[in-house]
Amino acid sequence: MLKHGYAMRQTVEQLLTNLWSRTALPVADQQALLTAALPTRHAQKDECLIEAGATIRSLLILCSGMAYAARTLLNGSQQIVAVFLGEDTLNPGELTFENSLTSVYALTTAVVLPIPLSALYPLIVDRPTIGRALWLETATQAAIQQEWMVGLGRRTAQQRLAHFLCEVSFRLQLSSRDDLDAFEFPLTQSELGDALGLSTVHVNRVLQVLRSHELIELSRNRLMIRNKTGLYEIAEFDSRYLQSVQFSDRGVA
Amino acid sequence: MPRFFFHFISQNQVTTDDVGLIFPSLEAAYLDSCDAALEISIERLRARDDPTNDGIEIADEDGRTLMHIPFTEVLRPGKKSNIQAKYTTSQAIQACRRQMLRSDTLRSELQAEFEKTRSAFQSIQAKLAILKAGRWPN
Repeated sequence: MLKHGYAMRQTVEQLLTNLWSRTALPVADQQALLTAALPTRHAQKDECLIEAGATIRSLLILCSGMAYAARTLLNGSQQIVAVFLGEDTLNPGELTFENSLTSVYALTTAVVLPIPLSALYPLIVDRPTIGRALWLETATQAAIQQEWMVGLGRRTAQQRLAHFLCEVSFRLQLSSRDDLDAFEFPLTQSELGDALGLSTVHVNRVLQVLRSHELIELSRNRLMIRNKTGLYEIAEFDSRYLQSVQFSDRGVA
Repeated sequence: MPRFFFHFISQNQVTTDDVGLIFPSLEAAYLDSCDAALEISIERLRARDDPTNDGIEIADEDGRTLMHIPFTEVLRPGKKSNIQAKYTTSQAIQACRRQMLRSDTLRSELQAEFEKTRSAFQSIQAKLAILKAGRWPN
């Protein structure tokens, strides 16, 4: 039991090192966050991690697994508004609200690390780099959502789906720090439809077209990019919005 | 739940679906196909193509055709079909089931919390009794 607890803590520390590598958070700040964190929560696939309307008490960091945020409309239809991968924060932009605006569900088994706001706020005051890290997280998520908005408003179904696959595979590559072409991809076609504003049958049709052009292969929760250049071209995908500039790059200490 | 296959017919050419999708019923598959037909028609019209001869064929796992949906069916809006009404009802029932399941989970969570509180309370009472008796076990 003790051994397991130790192993868990190590995973969490590893995670934070990874998570904040993109936000350039010094080790001392990582430690301060870890000390403030509550025990990790282990969730099953489809489990609700954040309920819309619930009081926001913690910043949640997704240690492993995938999740999505969604809004359900009165007619029962659902719009997925964000997809989170391992090492993403689940609610950095919502911390300034009293209640959660969206529901977040686990797409796979997931481990979540909560950092209570009561501990986070003093940390942000004492350690400005933590505040900046949250700012970067929020900005990155806003950039992704802006790109989704462009897709929903202006792209064809094929471009939209292709762009989404480019985005998710690129982000998975960033977090795995590996130039892989095949990934675990737990979203069903129905969930893809909910993210892209398309019917499931339409998603199925577009996937068939992308497959027949030998751009991708999607089967059994696995996405393989067979022709990255071709897929990027169709999607007009430019990865710069996923690689935010760090403060240190701008000469700001 | 059954798997359905959605073959697309456009300009007398059939694009075969060899992957398929799982739907709870043929009604659900039909309604989603209608949405798809509308979405694809709009995209084709935007590209100045004519979708009026296109259609979707729904087949089962044995390759039997279950339904044919010409795009014109969705391009000429009429009153809601029976299938749609039936589907709306079944969706409402499903939503109720989900809520009931959720209430059950919440109730059992509450019960567990209550049990925890009660046992904590009992142990406090026991300790108080020891204190009152004026002795404390080392």
